[in-house]
Amino acid sequence: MPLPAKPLRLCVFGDSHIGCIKQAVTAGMVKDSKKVDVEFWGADGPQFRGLDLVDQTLVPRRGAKAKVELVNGRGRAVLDPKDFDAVLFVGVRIRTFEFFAPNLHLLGQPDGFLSDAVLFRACQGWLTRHRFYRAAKAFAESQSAQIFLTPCSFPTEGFRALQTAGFDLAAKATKKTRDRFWHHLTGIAAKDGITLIPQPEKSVVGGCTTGAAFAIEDAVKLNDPVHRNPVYGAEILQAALDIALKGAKSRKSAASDPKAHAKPAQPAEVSLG
Amino acid sequence: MPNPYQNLPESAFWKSAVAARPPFDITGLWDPKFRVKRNHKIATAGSCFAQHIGNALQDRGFNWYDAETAPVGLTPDSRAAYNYGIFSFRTGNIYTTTALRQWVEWAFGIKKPPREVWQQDGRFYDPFRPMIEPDGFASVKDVLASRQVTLEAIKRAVQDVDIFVFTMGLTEAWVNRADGHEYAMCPGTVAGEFDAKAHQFVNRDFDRVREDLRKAISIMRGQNPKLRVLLTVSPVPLTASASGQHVLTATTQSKAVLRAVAADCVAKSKFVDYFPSYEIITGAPFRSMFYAPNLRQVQPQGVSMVMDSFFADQTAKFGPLKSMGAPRTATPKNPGHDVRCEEEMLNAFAS
Repeated sequence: MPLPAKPLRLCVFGDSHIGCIKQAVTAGMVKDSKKVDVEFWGADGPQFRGLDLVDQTLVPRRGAKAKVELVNGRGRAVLDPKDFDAVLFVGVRIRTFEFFAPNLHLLGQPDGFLSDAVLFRACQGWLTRHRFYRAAKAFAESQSAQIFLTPCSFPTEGFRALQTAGFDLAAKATKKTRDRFWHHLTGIAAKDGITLIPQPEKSVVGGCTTGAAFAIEDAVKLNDPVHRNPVYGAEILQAALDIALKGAKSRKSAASDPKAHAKPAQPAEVSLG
Repeated sequence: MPNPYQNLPESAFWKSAVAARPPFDITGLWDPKFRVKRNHKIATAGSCFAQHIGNALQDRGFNWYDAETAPVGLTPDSRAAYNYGIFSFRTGNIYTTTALRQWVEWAFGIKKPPREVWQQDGRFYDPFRPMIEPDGFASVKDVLASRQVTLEAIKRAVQDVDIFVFTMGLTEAWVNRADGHEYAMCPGTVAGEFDAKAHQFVNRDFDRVREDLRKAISIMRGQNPKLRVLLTVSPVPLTASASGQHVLTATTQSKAVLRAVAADCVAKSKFVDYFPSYEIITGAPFRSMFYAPNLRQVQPQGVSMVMDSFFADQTAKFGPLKSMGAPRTATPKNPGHDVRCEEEMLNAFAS
């Protein structure tokens, strides 16, 4: 009788945005939950800024230790990618709205045009300037775990985000235009060994906002356009697992190949049409 | 009866205004016609030296007008490489008054821009701004779409700004024999292929340079009657001359024509002024001290001297400027971000 396969060790790392994934796991909303041992590690607010990259590991400063302990709950003081098969970076202060909204607005003008070369460089400049993108890259360079990253989603619809920011033309952005951005962002991340998971297209409404169906409960009452519910969390986690589990299977069959981590897989959900 | 020179100010005499002074004490070169205020919208275009003027205005808190803004995310290096923020629109250098007229006529639909596109190694280049994207464009369609963005930006700038600064650079140019349109550079130097049957060298004379400048200004003023124009002449010598002359004499001729045209326009128009940055950099009293060792590029100290003189002469005529707050930026804020992160985290993990 064959022994049951060892579950994939996945660490979900991030700031308050990992909350929706934790809730999805707790609620049993992830179909592959039996094939994976999910652990959480991170901190929110000012404590998140107190996480430092040290020798390809993340280490909390004194002020962040208690929050990390609370989030992790397993006594893991340091996040070392070598302890996992996959690490999923969630949110991590990579705020897509700040990048997509003005650029979609620019492209929404009657003469709106950006060459692919310019758009690529804008995507590269924006993505790689983030501190925790660089941390994800350092993790990937350690060649130990598969590294996934999903940035913060667009703000929830109905919060007048685009109008307030002066980027109302972004509201008319199409999937095709958004995909131009995601195409470059996923490609840039892939070159750094990171599988970038874009915001699921079905969660996007109004060009550059997230559908209310994916907002946290009482989002309006709480004046919170940022955080997501477990439905969204499940979508993201499943997208990562689809690739990670496939990767784990292929790694098993090619265990002797040292370049198994070299090329990150791309999420099937990203349509580049 | 005293002769006409007897009552002239010190500045009228070489000895007292120049020879007896250290170079940095030579002042009062400009008697400005109009005040440049911090809240004035100022567009810059023209030859290389106009870039320095745009930068200096921004550095000093003036309202330099960026009609073709870079996408968010571009690093400063990429912005420079792709010619964002160099001039008020992405034309690249506009070396001649003919090219200025050409851009303005295209922008306002007076003439249709040619659909000519250069191709090299599978990439496509705009003959009127061949260095605008370092590796060219992916397709002809992209070249034309990008040019259209620039034409719209020119239109916006001309219609919206208070002051248009134009730095004249050259009289020599290359034109298309059949249609007469002027290229930004000789075909075959940066991109494209030179064809003696299709491409022709021209060295514009005073009348033509003046006619094109006046026409360009007239079109712009027709769109924006409050527009004032500030001319300068680039102190940067020609890199090369195709005129058959020595490059030094060709430079002198070219700059002399441009300087004379500037003087003519200033004399005949209330809303056109000339700022003598050319004299500050090239004048004998300054002993070429502001040039790099190649005697072409202007060093930052030269730019500083020029801009210090600019503002000193403005202040001398109109008094000091009021200080202004920092210009508004269009960086979006993620609404409500981190508003209640702690609650969200606790909600997920504390139970």
